[in-house]
This record gives sequence, structure tokens and C-alpha cells, in this order.
Amino acid sequence: MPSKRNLLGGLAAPLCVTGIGLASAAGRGTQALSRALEERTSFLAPAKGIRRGGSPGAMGGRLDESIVRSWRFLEPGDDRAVALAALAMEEALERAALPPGRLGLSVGTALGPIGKLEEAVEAGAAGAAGAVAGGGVVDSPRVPVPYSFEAYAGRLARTCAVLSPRSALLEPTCFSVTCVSGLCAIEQAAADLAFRRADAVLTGGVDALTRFMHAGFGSLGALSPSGCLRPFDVEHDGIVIGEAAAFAVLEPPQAASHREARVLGCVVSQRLVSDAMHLTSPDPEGRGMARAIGGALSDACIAPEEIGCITVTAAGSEVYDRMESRAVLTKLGPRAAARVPVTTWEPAVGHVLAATGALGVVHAAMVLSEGLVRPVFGVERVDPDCQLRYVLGGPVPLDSPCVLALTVGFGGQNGATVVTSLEMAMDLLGRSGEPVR
Amino acid sequence: MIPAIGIAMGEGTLTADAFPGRWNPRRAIPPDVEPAATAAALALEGAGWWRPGSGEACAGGLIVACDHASHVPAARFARELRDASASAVSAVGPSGFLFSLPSSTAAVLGLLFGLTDYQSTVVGGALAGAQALRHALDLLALRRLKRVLLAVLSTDGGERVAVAWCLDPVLRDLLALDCGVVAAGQEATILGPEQRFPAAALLLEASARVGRLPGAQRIALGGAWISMNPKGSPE
Repeated sequence: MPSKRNLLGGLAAPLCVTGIGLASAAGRGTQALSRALEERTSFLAPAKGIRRGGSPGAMGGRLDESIVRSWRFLEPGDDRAVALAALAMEEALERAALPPGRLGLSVGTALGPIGKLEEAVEAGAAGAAGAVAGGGVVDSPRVPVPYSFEAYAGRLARTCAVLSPRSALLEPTCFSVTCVSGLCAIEQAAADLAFRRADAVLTGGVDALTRFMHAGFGSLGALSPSGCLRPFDVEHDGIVIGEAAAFAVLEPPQAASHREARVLGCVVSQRLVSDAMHLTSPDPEGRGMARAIGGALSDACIAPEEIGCITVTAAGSEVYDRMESRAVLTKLGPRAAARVPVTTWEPAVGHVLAATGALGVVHAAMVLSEGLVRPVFGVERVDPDCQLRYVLGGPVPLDSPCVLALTVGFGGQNGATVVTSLEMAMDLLGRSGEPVR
Repeated sequence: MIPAIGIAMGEGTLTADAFPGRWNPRRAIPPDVEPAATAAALALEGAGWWRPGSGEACAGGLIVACDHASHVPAARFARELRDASASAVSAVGPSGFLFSLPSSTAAVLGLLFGLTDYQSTVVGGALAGAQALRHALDLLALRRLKRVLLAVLSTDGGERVAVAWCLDPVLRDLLALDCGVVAAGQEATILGPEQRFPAAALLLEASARVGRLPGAQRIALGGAWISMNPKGSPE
């Protein structure tokens, strides 16, 4: 990455968040998650939809089926990942209330409509699934397997067209980069705004919790054997998977200001760094994450003392929890690290796969709007190697309108995103170290 | 500018010896990914960004495009799950799931070449190659990245083809043009009208044109001029 300051979105910086939307195990909408965090309610439970053939007592965070199926524009044969995304996209677009214009769509997903493939293989259906499932038959993607990222992105674009009928839609772009997928989607969204291809971009991440996903993470030994998500706790023993779709509408400040849109936050800077050390595990020292944090803070021209809160992917596994702690300590220094409150949404809804990065941004906007940092629940005794200021008692006030959202992804992917209030973002623009134009 | 291009089809001869300290020598390069690794090695070596056997990390970002590369492993894993009894699911091995993730190709390439600056995988069938190219050019033009290895892995049944380009923003004024979205298959002709490798077709065609014409060339892709120089010498 260049060492010079580089605000996300170039001339379109800072990127204003004018709409957010969420579908998660907590329910439909960001309010459902907000309530869950306020009331310290966990929606992780034995997940009916993944039990068959899954590990006994498979724990997960799944959105209630009746809510999934309640989406009014659902079409026969739509995958669960379509419905989840649609619910979140609808909320984000409603809140943004965009005027007519060009709308981009940039989405991250690890496995897209994997449920369609599972269903077909399970049923041993004729055609694609049967051919693929049948012993001795050549696996061929030319057989129309009902599993296609292209079709999935197209379906989301049609959904977007229904939800925002006054918008001229750009062709969607789809990224698959495990838990940081949504952050790569934000990179493309920023470029689409910077090059003025789009007036606004709907961007986010989505993954459904299916048997495939659950068994897959089980095969990697990543799941919590106890089924309890206890981030930063001395008893942390692995992740509990959830599902979610998290979306945000991004606009350049001029457009948001012109139409007097309510700005929920501004995505100021972002860095993504890959550890490239192991196919599945992160660098336990957190060097990649430290680089990401350092780059994002430097791009934003923000000092550690100005960070009001850190929201983190709290995977609940020893290596990830400790790695994040080391990275933050390295980059913020012990003094700032001891001051900045750290929180997460994960105990409420689980580890939400490709929605994680996008939910980090959505959660940051929620924290900025509420002015409160909600506590992490499920922690009894903090692991001595997790040395940050985790919010454990009651909520604490946000003392600076700047949230650092940290996302860790499977295979050593690290993302650091700085989200601030509009006022602070405009102040940052004027600081020394001009953004690269 | 594109200092170097690598193209690989089918199974190559790449071994772990080329990556000392970066890949377990007792393990073969995963066959699902091997063509992409071979194409990347050719491109990176041609560009002078990497030397086989050096074990050094290669500075730069990595953007991969896949059309169907993950579908067959995904179907395989789904079948394994279907056939496993409830109690045996926990015994299902991890590699099936790992290569069901489209990002596994990038993960392997990142590991082999030590590319840490940025890593993403664009999925989207036939459009993935063009969209990945646009993503790479955008990030270079915005100076989010200094240089990028772009690798496209395309599959047709059991056959795979991969194309890799090393991109650096020497001609940043040209790259800063809006590259637009290149329509699917608009340049795809070298493998016949059937377009057997949709995501890679665009890059294959562009690579082939450079091969047909001597010296450095500029070609038009979706409204932007891209400078291509397969010899690696500056224009």
C-alpha cells in the first residue's frame, strides 16, 4: 500500500453512510440488534435448519424462518441468502430515501446461494445436482448446477430495482473473500463513487447459515465445542456461526448535503491486509492486523487518542481474540489501548461470515447514532492475554465520534475501517497530509 | 502498464521447490489451484517481481477472478455431507470445504508468493474476469495499491485455464480513465464461439493479441487503453 495518505473514495471522500440495513438472528432491522445488545440477549441456539446431519446440538444464530419467508417480493426458488440480503437492502434503501439517480451495487458473500446446491444434492434431483451427486459422473459446471454467483448477483440487482424503482442500476459486482468480503465490496463502491459512475452505492455482505457452512467450519475445527460464544473470556473455545446480511448506502458528501440527507456516519479510511501465512489461520502476533490499523489511522490522519470506540470481530477463539489485542496494543500503544472502549455484536448473533465486515461498518454507524458503547456479554473472566478495555459492565458514553471497526477473516484477512461523524470527517479532510487526489 | 503476462492450461509442473519456506514441501500445490499458480509464477517472474526458489515475499496486491472454479469442490463437499451419517459429519475432511470457497485460490497464491497488500476475489461467472480487471485498475488509479497481480481462473468441466497479469500504474493517466464494465465475452474469440472459459476469455484474447503483434502494444478494453508489454521492458 502507498505510504501517502489515501482517503477512501478519492474525490468522493468521505463516504457518507445515509442508510443502513440488517437482517440477523436478532431479527429484521438494525433496531433488533440494538435491542439485543441493550438487553444482552443472545439469539444463539440449537439451529433447526442445520441439525440434520450436523453435529449434535449444532449451535448457530439463524433468523426466524417466518421472517425470512415474509419478504414481500420473494420468488419461488429464492435462496435463503437472497431473502436475508433483500431484508437488509430494503431497510438501507428506505432509510436513505435516495432521489432518482445512478445506483451501484457491490456485494460480498463467501458462499452465496449455497443452500440451492445443498438442496439439489440432498434431493439427488435429476439434472445438475443428480449428475454432480451421482457416483462416477464427471463433475461439470457446464451442467446447470443451481448454484451461481452470477445468478445470485443478478437476483440481488433485480431486488434492488424493485426496492429502488427510480434508480438506474449499475451492473452488480460480487466479491468472495471470507469475512472481509463486505470490505472489498466497499472498496469497489468507493471507486464507483470516485469515478462518478454512480451517484450512490448500496454495498454490503451476506451469508446464510446452512448445514454446508456449519459442517465446513466444523471440519476446520473452528467451532466452539461448548457451543458458547465467549469472546475474550479465559474459557473462549471457538466460534459460533450466525447468519446475516448487512448493507449500507454510501454517497459523496456533496450529494448527501445537497439533498439534506441524514448522515449516519462517514467511512473515512480503510486498509485491508492479508497475513499470507497459513490457509486457514491468522498470524498469532497480529502483524497484518497491526499494519491494517496503522494504515487506516494514518490515512484518516487520526491519532489513537481520538478514537472513541473499537468494534471488533469477536470470534471467541483464543488465537483471534489474542491476535486482535496484540495488534491494537502495538498500534495504539498501551495508554490509548487502556482508554478506548472495545465492543462487539457477536455474542448476540454469532459470527456472521461474509456479513462481518459490512456489519462492522453498520455497527459503527449505530454506535455513532446512539452515542453509546454497549457492553460485551458472555464474558466472566477476561483472558489475561486479551488486554484491551472491553466494555463489560454497563454501556459507556462514546467520548469521540470516531469508531475503528476491525474485521478478521478466515485465512488471515485483516480489515481496519475508520467511521466517524460527518463533522469529524470534514475536519479530517482539512488536516495536513492531503488525501491523494 | 502490464509488464508481464502468464497463461497456463491444465496441469502444470509447478512444485513446492519454487516456494521455499512458503509452502510445505511434502504437499503438492492443490490441483484445483495449480493452473492459477503457474500462470501467476510466469507473470511474476516475467515482470521481475519474483524469482522462483527465492522464498522472498512479493510486494503487491492480489485480485483473483473465478467463474466456476469453486463449484465442483462445493458439489463434492455437499455430496460428502449428504452421504455421511449424522455422527460421521465431524469426520469429513477440511479440504473439501476449503476449496468450496472461491477465495481459496487467492489464499494459495497469497501464501505462495507472499502477496500481503490486499487480497480479493471477484465472482460472477463470465463477467468475473472483466470485473476483476476493473477492480484492479480502479485501485491502481486511486493509488490504493502500487501494483497488482491479477489472476483469472476459468474452468470448463475438468479443464482449467488461468491467465495472470502483473499490473502497475506507470500509465496512471490512462488507467485513471473510467474503464467501464467490459461486456461479457465481447473480446472472447480465441477459443471459438463456444467461449469455453468465460471469465478468462477477455484476458486471453488481450494476451493473445500482444503475442500476435511484435513489441509493446496498447489495446482497447472497454473504452480504456491498456498498455501491454510482455517483454517486461519499459515503454
